[in-house]
Amino acid sequence: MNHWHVFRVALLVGTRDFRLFWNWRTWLFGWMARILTSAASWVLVGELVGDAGRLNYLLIGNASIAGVGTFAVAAAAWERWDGTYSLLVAAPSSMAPAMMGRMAIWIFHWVASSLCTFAVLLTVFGWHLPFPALLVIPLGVTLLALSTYSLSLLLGAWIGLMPALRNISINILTTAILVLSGAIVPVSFWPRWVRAIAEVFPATHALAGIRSALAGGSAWLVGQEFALEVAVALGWLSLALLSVDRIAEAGRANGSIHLS
Amino acid sequence: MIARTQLRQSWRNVEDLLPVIVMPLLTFASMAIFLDAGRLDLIGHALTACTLITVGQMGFFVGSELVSADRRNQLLELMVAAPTAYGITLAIRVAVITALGLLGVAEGWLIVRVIFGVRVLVAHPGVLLLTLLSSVVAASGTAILFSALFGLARTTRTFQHAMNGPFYLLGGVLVPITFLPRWLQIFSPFTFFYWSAGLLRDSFRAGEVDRLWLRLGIVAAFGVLFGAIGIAVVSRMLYRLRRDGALGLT
Amino acid sequence: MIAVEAVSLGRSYEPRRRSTPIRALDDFSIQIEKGEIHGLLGPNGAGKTTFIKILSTLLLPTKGSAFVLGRDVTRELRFVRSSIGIVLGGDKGLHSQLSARETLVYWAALYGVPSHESKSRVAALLERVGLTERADAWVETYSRGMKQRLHLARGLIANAPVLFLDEPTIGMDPLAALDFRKLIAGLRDEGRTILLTTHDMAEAEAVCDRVSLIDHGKLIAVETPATLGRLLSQFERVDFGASAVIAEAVRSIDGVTQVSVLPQPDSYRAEVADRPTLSAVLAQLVSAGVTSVRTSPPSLEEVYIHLIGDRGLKV
Repeated sequence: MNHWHVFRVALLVGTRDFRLFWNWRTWLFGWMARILTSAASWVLVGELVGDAGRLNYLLIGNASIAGVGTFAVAAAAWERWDGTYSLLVAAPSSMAPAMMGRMAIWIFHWVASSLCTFAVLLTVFGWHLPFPALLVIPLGVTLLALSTYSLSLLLGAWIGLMPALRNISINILTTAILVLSGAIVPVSFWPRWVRAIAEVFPATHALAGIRSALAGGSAWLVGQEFALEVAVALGWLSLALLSVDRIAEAGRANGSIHLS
Repeated sequence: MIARTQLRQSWRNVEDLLPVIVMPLLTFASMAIFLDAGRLDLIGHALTACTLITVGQMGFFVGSELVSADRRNQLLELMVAAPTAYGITLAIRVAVITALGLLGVAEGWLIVRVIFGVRVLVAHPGVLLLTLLSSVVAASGTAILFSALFGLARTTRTFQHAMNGPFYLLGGVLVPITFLPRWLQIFSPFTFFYWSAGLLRDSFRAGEVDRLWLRLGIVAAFGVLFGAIGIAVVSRMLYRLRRDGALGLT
Repeated sequence: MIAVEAVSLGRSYEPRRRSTPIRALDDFSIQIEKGEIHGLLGPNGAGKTTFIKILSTLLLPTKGSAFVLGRDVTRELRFVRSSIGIVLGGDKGLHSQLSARETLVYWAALYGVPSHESKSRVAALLERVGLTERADAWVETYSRGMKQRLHLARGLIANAPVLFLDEPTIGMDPLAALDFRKLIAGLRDEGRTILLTTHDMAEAEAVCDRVSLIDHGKLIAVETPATLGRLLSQFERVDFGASAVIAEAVRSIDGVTQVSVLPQPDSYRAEVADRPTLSAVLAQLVSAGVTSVRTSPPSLEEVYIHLIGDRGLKV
């Protein structure tokens, strides 16, 4: 089976999904308006609690994860609406390349959202970052986007079975990233069992790496965190690849796969 | 009957209840920040934001979709042909959906009390209740207007996505507007969120509530005014559709 | 050789809040020969789509077994999936933001068609179904008939020997449906086995070698369209134009099972149990001076209605 071929055409489908939602105008003035005001609200909480250091903390955290986790999971549900989900299950090859391809476009959306948010918030709040450290941000954001994509693939496999829960799962995912990754409070704030989850959750290590770089941490420390983020991404990806077809097969038993 | 039917419909549709389920989860975030900063006095802010964002989202994202949904499901024409004015039916349905947002208050409360173990003290329960009710009226009225604009006037969806964040920021639902630039603060009183947020935070604080009835009246007036404009817009749009032959049975 | 077989196949669902399970298929056994076009007829909810879903490996049976080309559909998934093509009806099952060419390339990859073969196979299929000229336009711009042809091309992309067509001409205008049937008939000449579910009697009569009637998950009859009529009436029926008095006289002849009123004024239909009765009826009509007389076998639609029963609007 030509998985790369399947991935490529599925990416085309995903790109056209994106264009059904957004053009450059609606993305900038609709989507980014929403993302920026949401991020700014959280950053201003830093002023509300009366702590300048917390404002910077919240800025970096919220800008890094701005928009991350949105839409991708729903791609599995869109296969249902298109009536192609059952055909994908009935095909002899794995569903994984098709799902991965259709979801992949949203990685670019997340990275662009985050970088735009960084650019605007840093300007609005008058924070000038040293140039070398600034270069770390795109890398860190890309890594956290990739690990979020991996988890989204696993969630998407379940959403293929239960498409009605797509928006709930996206919202829970984005809230979990906000709360667990260290974007708003240090991971150490949470009880031990929550910290354990945060360690393997997308964005935690990439964000730690970004913070370390901006605080002048050593390249070794930053590299360590980014490497851990890569490991998290690969871990979720492996789980997703092992599960995607198995989860779809579960639909055969409960009769949830409809022919059209 | 219309209200009961809409309630039954929304209760069975997880998409309709989405804001009620997920918006209060943001209380996790606000509470975590306040507790980490040692600012237990700001819990009222967390619940204010939870309440207003949930009610607002129910109105703006669920209620304001009703006309579009009726068009998509080819129900609009059938409802217009019925004896009851469509604008009235729409207003009732939107109000029911928006009122469901009050369930988010309970969820937020539970998160604060059960998860974070913090007691919430309401200094003025009557003020809280009246503000909640008038906020539902205000959100419903606004949602009726938006429903007409999105469903009939083909107002761009950019607006639906864009207005989300700015309204809450401008209204000071989480962070009071005194933390915004002066030039932005001028616009805040033009959103009902500003008035509702102030009243809700006052209901948690001890001490007198300043200009209570005036502020409550302003919140309710938003709802009545926008609701009336919305119903008028619906009537006008439907007249135009009928005139242009754009209402069909298939 | 048997291409598709079901042996005492059963599928039950346990709905919420109800105690009795719903039997979508109930002790369903059937054999479809290789190279046959086999029609599956039945009302909505009869179990047709459930059967197709089981054969397509999308649904597990709760009882019994099913085989495609001798392989168990519940266990030998890869072989079965590689051996079947699924052709849906309607607007679903296609990515509306892809062109026909892109759609076929996509499914070719999913079905393991080698890259070097994919291009030529896609071009050949587009030509076959008459979509070459619109091959690069998005599917959302296609008419219903064009989408259906693309469905067929998609089902043929892996050159599968067995095809399942699920109500393929639903919503198509008569000319488009006729063209589509010609395409299906062409597939038989290639030795493919086709299982076709349909509500369209004319389609079943025109295209199918044999037809199975299914209702409430049970197989009611399996016959050729021509012989299926014999289940209703062993002999031909007599349609005649005459007065009510003559019709009453015909009714009173021994062996006449039924005399029904036809929509045309003063027109009746007599159904008979045996050849002597047929002769007696014809003799009666001739002696009464009736000249408008016609004999015919029951149509497939009449058989369907008769055997499925007075289901009407019941669910």
